[in-house]
Amino acid sequence: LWSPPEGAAVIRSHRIMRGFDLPLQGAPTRVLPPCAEPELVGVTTEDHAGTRWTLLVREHETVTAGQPVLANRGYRDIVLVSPVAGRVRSVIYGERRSPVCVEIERGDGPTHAVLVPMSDRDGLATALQKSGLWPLLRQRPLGRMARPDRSPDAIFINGMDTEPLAADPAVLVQTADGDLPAGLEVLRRLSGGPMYLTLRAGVRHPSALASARHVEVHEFSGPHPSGLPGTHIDRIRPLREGELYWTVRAQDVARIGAWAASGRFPVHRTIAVSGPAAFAAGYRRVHEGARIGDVVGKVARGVRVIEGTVLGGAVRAPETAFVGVTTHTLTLLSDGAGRRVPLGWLLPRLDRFSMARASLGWLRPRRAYDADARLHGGVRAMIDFGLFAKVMPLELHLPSLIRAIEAGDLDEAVALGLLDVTEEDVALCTVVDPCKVEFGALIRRGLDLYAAEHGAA
Amino acid sequence: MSRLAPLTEALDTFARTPDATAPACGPHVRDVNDLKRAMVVVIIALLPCLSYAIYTHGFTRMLPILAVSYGVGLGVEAVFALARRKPISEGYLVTGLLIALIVPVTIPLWQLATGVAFAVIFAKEVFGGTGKNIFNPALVCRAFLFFAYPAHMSGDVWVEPPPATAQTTQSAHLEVDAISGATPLAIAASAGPGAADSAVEAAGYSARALLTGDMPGTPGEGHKLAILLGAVILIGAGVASLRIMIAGAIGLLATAFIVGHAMPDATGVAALAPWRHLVMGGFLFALVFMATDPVTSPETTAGKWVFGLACGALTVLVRVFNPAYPEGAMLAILLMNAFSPAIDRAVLALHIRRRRSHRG
Repeated sequence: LWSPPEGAAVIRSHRIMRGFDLPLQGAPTRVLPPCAEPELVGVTTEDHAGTRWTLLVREHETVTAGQPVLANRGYRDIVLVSPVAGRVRSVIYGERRSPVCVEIERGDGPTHAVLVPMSDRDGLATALQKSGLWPLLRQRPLGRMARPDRSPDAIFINGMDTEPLAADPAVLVQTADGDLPAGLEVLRRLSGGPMYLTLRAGVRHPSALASARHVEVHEFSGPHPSGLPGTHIDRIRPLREGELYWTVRAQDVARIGAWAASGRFPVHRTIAVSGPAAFAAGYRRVHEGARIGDVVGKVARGVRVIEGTVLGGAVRAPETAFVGVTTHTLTLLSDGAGRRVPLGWLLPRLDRFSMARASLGWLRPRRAYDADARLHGGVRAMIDFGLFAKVMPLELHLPSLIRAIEAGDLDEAVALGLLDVTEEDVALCTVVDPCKVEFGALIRRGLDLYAAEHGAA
Repeated sequence: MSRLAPLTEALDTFARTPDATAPACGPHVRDVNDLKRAMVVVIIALLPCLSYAIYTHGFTRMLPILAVSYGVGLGVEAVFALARRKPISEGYLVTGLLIALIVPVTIPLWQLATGVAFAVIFAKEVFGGTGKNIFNPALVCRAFLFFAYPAHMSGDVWVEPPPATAQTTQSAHLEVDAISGATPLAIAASAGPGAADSAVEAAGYSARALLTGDMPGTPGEGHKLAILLGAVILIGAGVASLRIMIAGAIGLLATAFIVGHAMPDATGVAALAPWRHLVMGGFLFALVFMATDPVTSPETTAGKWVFGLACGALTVLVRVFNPAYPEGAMLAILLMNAFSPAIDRAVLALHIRRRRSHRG
């Protein structure tokens, strides 16, 4: 086992210069009243893009709390579990009859509990997969759910989040009924390699983070993406060929710790509801699998409910979508469809932000905007005005990388750093691009190509 | 109706901002900047130069040139967009204005139309349109005119002929000699050994005249302060690369300094003081508005420095060693456009090698 420094001495501070904080209204600042206990919960696969799931239960079947209801097609031990005891009401299918959601009515019944075998690495890994919490672990390269058949060369635990309006892990670690030390111990036993805890510089850390053991602490300052694991990996320990890292959020380590301590799937936690269109932005205690519509409250017409942040999240239907095991932030944002500005290309647009200073919004700095989801332009061929480099702390030649992916030249793409990034690392480039190119989708296409050719990584 | 979609899209988004919203997955908030705004910023940056051009040459001279440039150029773009069923790109909004500012005001309009059509078709559309071209279309237009119609444009290239129509208002502003005479660069080119500077001074082109554009030349290149104002706007709005501008100026001054010291007694431009190279001819305009074209210049930071330095250096070399054509910026930038992809490749190859050695 890796023997890290005792205590949590700050090893290094990193200052990220290149980046941009989107000036948006609706940061989660308040503490909202907890959600009512739901009568209907959903186990959703929507949040795990790129993975396929097999149904383990039938409609009207009775389930216990913590019982697996969906299993991963590739690794059958990785499951999603029911957070309540009750009866399966219905199963919603998506494309090619793959299950999207299992709806479960709450009833009475026992809670599934296991004895977590802490001293047996393989047994511990299997138990974690069967706990329903494995999807909290993500891997680099490829930026998707960690493959369980390889132990990681390093683990990056993220105690900060600089995405716009995102839930602050420091707050979630404090509010969760989690157990961070126990979670760190689980990770240490699973990997045996170095573990890095990244924290925001210049703020007081909650005691759980400040006293974390078995980790090397790195502090990051600067604008987004200073809080992304891709940035942290680049500054702390760049990925070498053949290496596999895990990335995990600090609050999720605490949840793993709660599971390890009790043997039960933790069913309550706090998430953030945020965004310019949120009726009330703040932190809210929710039940696992709660309906998103019940968590965010009233949703006005023409508002997007986004699972995640405005940078990396995905639109969900609030009435039929549920809080997933990886959900930490729900963002409400006006869609803006139909809002068209006459001769908009000619106007100063003081009411809109522009990182490129193409609007005169920069004349009013420190202002938070009520943004919406309009593209503000037509999609054009990629032109590099030099804006990407201003928001990209990694040494990444994005246009060349994109051209290599589009040409299907994987060797070139890998040489140019394809495996160092995921869609979240290039999200800001998409935001500032005047040609409105979807870089995230292109990067994902490249990563999928790589995965198809080289196996899971 | 769908056949005309590119045209209706262009007119619709000209009238009102487009109705598109971000896809369901991925960044949901976008910068208000789009290609239209970026191009409008460049046009705003060109307005000081355009104002000066209209001030010196008059609306009656500039308006037909602008009309032909935009009419023919946008017409060709529209035809290709319709044939390809792709949206009409905004790139020509800038190119059209650039062309009007870098051709002599006396150019026959049919020649201008031919040049514009050639540039848009062969410098842009054959490569796939804006964003995929290798050469700056405005410079290709100018080069085409220069080589296709040498009778109008050889020797004292951008010189106004003796005033046929009496230029009452303009000639009061410009010296009569300057109207009928050669550009300062042409004067320097024909100067005796080591006498380039004094010949330029003797012809009445003081430092002040060179800065404020009191000299013959193309409409855009005259007023250096207007160009610098444009440069400030471009850099402030993040549309053009400051690196290329600085590197270009350094390349020009350094090469001129070296050439001047290596051949102090040479005839012609070689003996010119370096600073005069910067303010004479079209170099400054070409550097600020055309060398910085993000499509045809290198994308890598190191590549931008190399590109800029080479543009400046080649401009001096063309001026010095090609007496038939003392204006070198156009050829220098076109040549470096051709090398831009190679420069980027070389920088990326170094980057990849360094990356490999770092990560073992």
